[in-house]
Amino acid sequence: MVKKYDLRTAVIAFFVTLTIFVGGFVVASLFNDYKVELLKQEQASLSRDMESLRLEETYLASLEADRACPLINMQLGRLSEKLDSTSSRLLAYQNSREFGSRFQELKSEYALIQLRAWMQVGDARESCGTDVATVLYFFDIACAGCEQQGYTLDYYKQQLGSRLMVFSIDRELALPIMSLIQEDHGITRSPTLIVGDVALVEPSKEQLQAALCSQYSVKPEFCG
Amino acid sequence: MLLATTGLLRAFIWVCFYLNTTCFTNHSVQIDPRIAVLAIVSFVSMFMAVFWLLTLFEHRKILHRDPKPKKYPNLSIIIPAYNEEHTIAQCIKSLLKLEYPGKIQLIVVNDGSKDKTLETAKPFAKKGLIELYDKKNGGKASAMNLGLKHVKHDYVACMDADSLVHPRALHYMVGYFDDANVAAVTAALKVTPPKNKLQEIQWIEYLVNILQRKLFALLDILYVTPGPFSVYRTRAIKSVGGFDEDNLTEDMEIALHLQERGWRLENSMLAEVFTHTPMTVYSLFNQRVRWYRGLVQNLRKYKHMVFSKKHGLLGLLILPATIALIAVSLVGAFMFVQSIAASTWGFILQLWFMLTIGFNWVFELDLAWMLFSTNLFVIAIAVFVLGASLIILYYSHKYSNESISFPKGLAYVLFLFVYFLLLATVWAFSLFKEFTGAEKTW
Repeated sequence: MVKKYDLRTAVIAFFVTLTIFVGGFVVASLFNDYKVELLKQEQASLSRDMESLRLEETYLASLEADRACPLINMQLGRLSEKLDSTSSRLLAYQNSREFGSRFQELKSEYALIQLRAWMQVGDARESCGTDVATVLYFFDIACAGCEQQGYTLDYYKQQLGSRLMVFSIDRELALPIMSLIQEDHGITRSPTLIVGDVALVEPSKEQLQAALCSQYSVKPEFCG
Repeated sequence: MLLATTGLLRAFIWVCFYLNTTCFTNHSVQIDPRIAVLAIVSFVSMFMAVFWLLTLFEHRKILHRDPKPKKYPNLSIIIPAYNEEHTIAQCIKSLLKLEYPGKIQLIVVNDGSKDKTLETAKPFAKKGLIELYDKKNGGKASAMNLGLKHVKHDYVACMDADSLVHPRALHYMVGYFDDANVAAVTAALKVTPPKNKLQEIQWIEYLVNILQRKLFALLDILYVTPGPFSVYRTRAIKSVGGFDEDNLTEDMEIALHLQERGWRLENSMLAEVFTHTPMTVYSLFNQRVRWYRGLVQNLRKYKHMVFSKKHGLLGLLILPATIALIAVSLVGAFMFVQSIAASTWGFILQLWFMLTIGFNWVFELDLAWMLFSTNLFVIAIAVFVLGASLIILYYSHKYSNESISFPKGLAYVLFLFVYFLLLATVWAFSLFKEFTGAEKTW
């Protein structure tokens, strides 16, 4: 005896499930676009700030140092905050693993902004004696010691606040300027930090502390 | 199965959160095989959840509508008993209180008990209230087959000696036999008042099973006639040669056998039967290993029914889905445990390193960060899954005439988010035992 059956409910269930999945894709994709757009806006704003800073520097160069430097320092403080916030968004985006070509573009763009900022802070240190330490941090995602190095840097960032500016660069990004800096400092692996002008390969907490302390004219408390 | 589908979806959500991954929006990187497995698991599970919800909404008005019998037929009730000295008297008394207009023949078969089951039942026999038979221990099926030989009526119920039946249960059940194609009618299995969290979890599980059994009956895909209390057409049960004595779950075997022969199995949600549930994880584990191993044994025995159009939705949908769900529940649970272990280990390492460098770990609520870390697709599925689970729970309570019990709050949480792990472990163990040919124990 053949049993009667009705596949109607199963067919409807299949299409409902399919709709939920496709809906999920669409929503996730729209949300992703929104996130990318937001990051782009932030980076555009950063670029404008950098451009503005460059113009301001040109303008301030015509002023006396004692008038120009406080203004430059103020601008750098603002820039530091913005770099940090964009960095944390990029990191969160990276953590959500929504990798793709758009993410690579954003990351490259951000790396370039960071490198420009790193150089400008260096200039400000020379011209105005700005008492800010800079760390150019080369990492890559698969690197074993990078996570711990990141925590050590976070620790000093927490201790020093705006007196420390960390610029994190993914070594996997193929940017000509990065190759130049890495060759210049003999960087071959991650994690490597350029503190001031010295390259440190996977420094311990103590080594990093010593290098940072040497950067300040007014020493932080932990430098003893 | 109703719960398995939502349980698996919950496992999927947990794994997704632990992997912290988007799962379905990778563009250029290689797709992690785990993600592909999760996608398949989630699709299959979600399909089953949607299927059950649609079936529930389609039939919700007739769930309690049991047909009135043209007449109340006489029937026999067999109670196989093995080491049931503490429960057998109560069980017999509950049967004696049945409010049923037809004649009832009570048959107790003592299956070689080592305790005082026989002595406890004897006074009832002396008063002529029951027929008592004693035999060497041979398993529940052999006891029921012996009872079958003494059955005088056209309908026979089998009842576990540790169960209690509601006085009006038979009223609701016998009307289904007016359809000549119906071979058996199952009842709504409830558990005796729980005494600990594990029993509370099973209390919830049994309520969900009550709803599931009804939906299965409506689709003519019931493949278990539970031992605690089911009524059979004597002719049907004898036509398939009675119960399989070499089967771990003879109640599933007989149901599949009847289905194979084209009979229909029905269910009444109003016919309440109360059974005892294991109080310890160990005894629950052993009980479920027997059940699950029995399921595998029967799936192997009736493999010709899988994908068979002849057996309707049972062959085309439910048996294949059962096999798929066994596989995905194992895979899902394995991935879940692996993700938890990896995340926990990673977290311990991070914590250790942060402590060694003296990191001042301050939690900062960064809404923007949360926005960027949030995976909307996973959140959407999580909401859907929880919604589906809660709807199923709500209707399970409603149609079992029970109310949501707030004092059992923790049991609900454990049932929803942890219980499936125990069941997946049982599955792994049962499969291992079945395929290594371990000794079968009742």
